[in-house]
Amino acid sequence: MKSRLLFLVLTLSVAGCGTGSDPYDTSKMDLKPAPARVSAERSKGAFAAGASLSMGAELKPLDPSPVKDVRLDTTHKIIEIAPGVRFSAWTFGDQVPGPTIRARVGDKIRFTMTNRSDEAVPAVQLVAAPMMHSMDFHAAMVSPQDKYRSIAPGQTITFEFTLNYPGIFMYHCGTPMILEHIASGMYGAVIVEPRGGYPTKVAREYVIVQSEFYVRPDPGKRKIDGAPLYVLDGERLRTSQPTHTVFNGVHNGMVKKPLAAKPGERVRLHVLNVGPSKTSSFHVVGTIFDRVWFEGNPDNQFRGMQTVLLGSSNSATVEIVIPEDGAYIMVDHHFANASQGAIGLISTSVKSEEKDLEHHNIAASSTPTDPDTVQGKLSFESKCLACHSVGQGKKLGPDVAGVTKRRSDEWLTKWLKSPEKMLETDAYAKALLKEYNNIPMPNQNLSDAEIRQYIKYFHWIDSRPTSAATAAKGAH
Amino acid sequence: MVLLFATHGPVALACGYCVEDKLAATYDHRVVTSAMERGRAMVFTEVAGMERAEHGFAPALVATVEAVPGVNRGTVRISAAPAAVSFSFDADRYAVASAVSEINRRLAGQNITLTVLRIVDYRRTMTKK
Repeated sequence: MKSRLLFLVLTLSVAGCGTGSDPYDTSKMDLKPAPARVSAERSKGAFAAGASLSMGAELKPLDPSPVKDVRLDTTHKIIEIAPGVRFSAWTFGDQVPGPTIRARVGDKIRFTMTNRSDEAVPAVQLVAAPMMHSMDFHAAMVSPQDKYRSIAPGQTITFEFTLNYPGIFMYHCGTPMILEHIASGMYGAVIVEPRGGYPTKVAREYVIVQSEFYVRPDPGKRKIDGAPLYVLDGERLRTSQPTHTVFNGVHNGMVKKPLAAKPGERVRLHVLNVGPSKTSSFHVVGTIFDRVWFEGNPDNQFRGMQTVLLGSSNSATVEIVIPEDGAYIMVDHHFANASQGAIGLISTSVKSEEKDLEHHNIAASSTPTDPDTVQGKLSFESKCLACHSVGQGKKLGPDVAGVTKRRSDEWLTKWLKSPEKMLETDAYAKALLKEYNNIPMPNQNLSDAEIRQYIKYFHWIDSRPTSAATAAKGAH
Repeated sequence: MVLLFATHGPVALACGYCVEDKLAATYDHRVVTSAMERGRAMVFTEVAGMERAEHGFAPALVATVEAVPGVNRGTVRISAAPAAVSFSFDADRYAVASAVSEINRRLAGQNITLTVLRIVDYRRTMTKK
């Protein structure tokens, strides 16, 4: 018995040591990259370049080249983070989030970046003062003082590094104040496959980057094409109170443009939460994560998970199997974050984006420009569309189209402030309760300012020509 | 503008740790552009002792630096974290080292000391033109 046990231990020991090489053998990693070079050579070409780059959610196949030439120039530009919310952003590659770099362990990234924050973007007014920027790759093992140094407008930095670990890694600007640079849009993802590729085969791969925006209307009341400009809100930033929490840079963006999939397909999602300050509880309604590779490394595997918790700069690769026709809702299950725009769809039907899918869809064809009205619209879309439509008739509650013609602002204010009190005293409120199957309007604990925003939004709806035609559908 | 840092060579006088971050903290594109156009020098410094300074000391620091001959008025920029000061300087008429010594002498009572991180001299740019 004793000898058998010894044999077993020896067998396991040999098996454990293995004859294959350790993929994490640090003695075989490239830890001596060449020094970075900084020059006054200004690039005038594309802001982003490289065969390994994917510009949107859909991830391109791996570029087989062992050396990936990547250019991501920094720019300052206006981006629309939500309907009517045009934000003065800072970018890598002229987009937020920056392009995704895809590579494999052992590949070398030959990176070049020109600080072009002093260039006016064609057709877009430059609003942010040029400033110094830098690049911090979490996928790299290099001296920050050499590779991640800040460069001035007009300068170019070039450096190389080898990818030693598989995973989904954040990149971001590391120039002080880092918080402001990240919150202004300077981030993206590097996806590093294991040296031998992933252990599973999938039909589709997507990249989901979650981030927060902290914005306020420009105190100088500047406008972009007639719409108000939004700028970084430093106070909200310092106190971690985002105005928008989004996937891939846009409030409810992948609701309006769902990701495609077909029943029976295995879909791989590379999810990165860049923060800068909030945690994500990533979940896809209607599925279970068959596999979760925390930080995007298959060696960190979980099976059968419902959510994956991601702190700032954490990531995970999740694989799901699409069971049947439908629209599967990606959401940050911290629902305060979801209500700020961290929602997207994986849909088996292109047309499904136009259907009445739960409470998440609303046409974006027309948007208000007044900041309060914009905020009212965003709040309404996040909190109210489950029970109310805009010009589409009754749901659990009345259609809000035409509501400012039916009720006074004073009545609406009281109703939004304290519906339970109104149900005790107001005859119209009592009639509403009866008409809608005794389902009471819940108190949303709205502030006075929020109520004013809602009512401004309702007036904006009713000022549009289409409102009158549709108001009758749900009116009472 | 493109000469910024390209001309600095080995003149970094501080330890060099995160020098660019300290430069970035006070980098003002308008001041740098103006210095280049007028053939001035840009002086970037780090500051020791700022954390001990009284709350609201910043305006006094700006005034002290601006009052030293050679420092161009309206160009002083300061940062608390990282602690740094930069300004445009008339290097044709004054020496940077002497000016910084004078600033430090005037700030000695506050136990604040400036150390030059980088000097970017745009006079050569003007000569080329």
